Amino acid sequence: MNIVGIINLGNSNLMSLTNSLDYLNVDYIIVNNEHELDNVDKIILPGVGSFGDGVDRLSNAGLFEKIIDEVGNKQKPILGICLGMQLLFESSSESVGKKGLGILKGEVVNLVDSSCYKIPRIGWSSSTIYVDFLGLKKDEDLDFYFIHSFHVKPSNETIVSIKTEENITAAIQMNNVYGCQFHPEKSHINGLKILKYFSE
Amino acid sequence: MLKHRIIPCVLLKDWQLVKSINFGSYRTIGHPVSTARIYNSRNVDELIVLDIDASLGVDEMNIELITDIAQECFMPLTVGGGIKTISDIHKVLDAGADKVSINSIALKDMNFITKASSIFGSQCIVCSIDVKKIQSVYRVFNKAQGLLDLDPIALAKEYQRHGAGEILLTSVDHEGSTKGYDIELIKSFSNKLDIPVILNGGMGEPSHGVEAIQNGADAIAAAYIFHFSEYTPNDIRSEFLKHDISVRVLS
Repeated sequence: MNIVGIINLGNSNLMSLTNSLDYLNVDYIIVNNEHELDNVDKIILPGVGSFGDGVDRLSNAGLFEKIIDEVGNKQKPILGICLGMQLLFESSSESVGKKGLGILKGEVVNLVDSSCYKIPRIGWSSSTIYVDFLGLKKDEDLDFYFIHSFHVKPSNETIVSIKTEENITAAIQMNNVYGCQFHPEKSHINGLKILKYFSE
Repeated sequence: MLKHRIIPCVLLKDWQLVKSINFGSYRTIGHPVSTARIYNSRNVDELIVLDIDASLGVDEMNIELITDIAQECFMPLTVGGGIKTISDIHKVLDAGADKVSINSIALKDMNFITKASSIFGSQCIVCSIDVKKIQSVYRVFNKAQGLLDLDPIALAKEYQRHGAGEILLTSVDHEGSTKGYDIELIKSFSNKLDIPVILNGGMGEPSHGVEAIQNGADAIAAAYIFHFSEYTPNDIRSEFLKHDISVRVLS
């Protein structure tokens, strides 16, 4: 049986996520420090707030280097959600000078102004699955729930699995590393599928 | 293009869900938790729950019940009624809500909006404005204070300037009437704000929703239609699609 560790950055509400995992009968623990990460098979990195604050909170909990080790060397699967996905990358224009986990190459940048949305970009957005992603099949168009002002720009475009109709990267995967810009725990069945598939 | 949302908006009173007509004559419509479960299974875009006892100061916010409701919601949940402090917002969000709706405290102190949105992000702060039409002029109405000499558009602009993320705009006259949304009201709001406006009050059939969106509402909220008619959120969705209105497609 897999145990999923949810990283607690201490500033975000984990209730929505744990409600979803309870509903899906997933075994999970809340991870507050580096030692607790030893006991888990998979990692979910959620997060709200700013990039720089997220980096600091990981560092202060001793989790920054530990996550890189668990995911890089021990190849534990990780799913970053929203800010959690952004933290997997190297840097962000939101917090210039702060280094992200750097597990994935690329940067996080501001959403460009568009007539298609207001910033923060909040709401349901149609997205295309380009590569099979955690149980979702290629070529499907599905709606997911987004709340964000920044988005990721991977150096290597081939890690992009899902894009919104405005061409914003909505999900990425590379080997054992997964990320969603949208909130699977708030995206009804499409999101629950992702959480279930990742946790199994 | 983000999707236009169809949002059930329900009222909480004495641990029950109620439906009002013109802000009065409450009728019990069911248990909040089972209703939330049904809305979740009907795949609604979002759910708004307003605690009217708390908003009138009769009671504290019912955090226990909000926690139970949130457990059934795998979609965004907005909770309002009786929020007076930053710590109230913390409590509601910790209980599993994604956004809060504020009304009286925003009227009393605009800086509260600024403070709340700087802590929680503007996406989290919905400012609710209730409107009554008096001799063909729209005025802001507050349940505790009654009719106020305030122009709803000017107030909404101020809310936006102070950091509101969305406006929940309710017509007291149309609320519970099933005669359709107040189209003149939403028309008067069109292009006045940068933030989304959720129009509430009066939907009796799906075509009313279409009319609201076509006249400038970003999203529609409703209660009566889901509880006292044969229509489901899906019927409204189909009606939207018929009129080429961008709406969530169910897989």
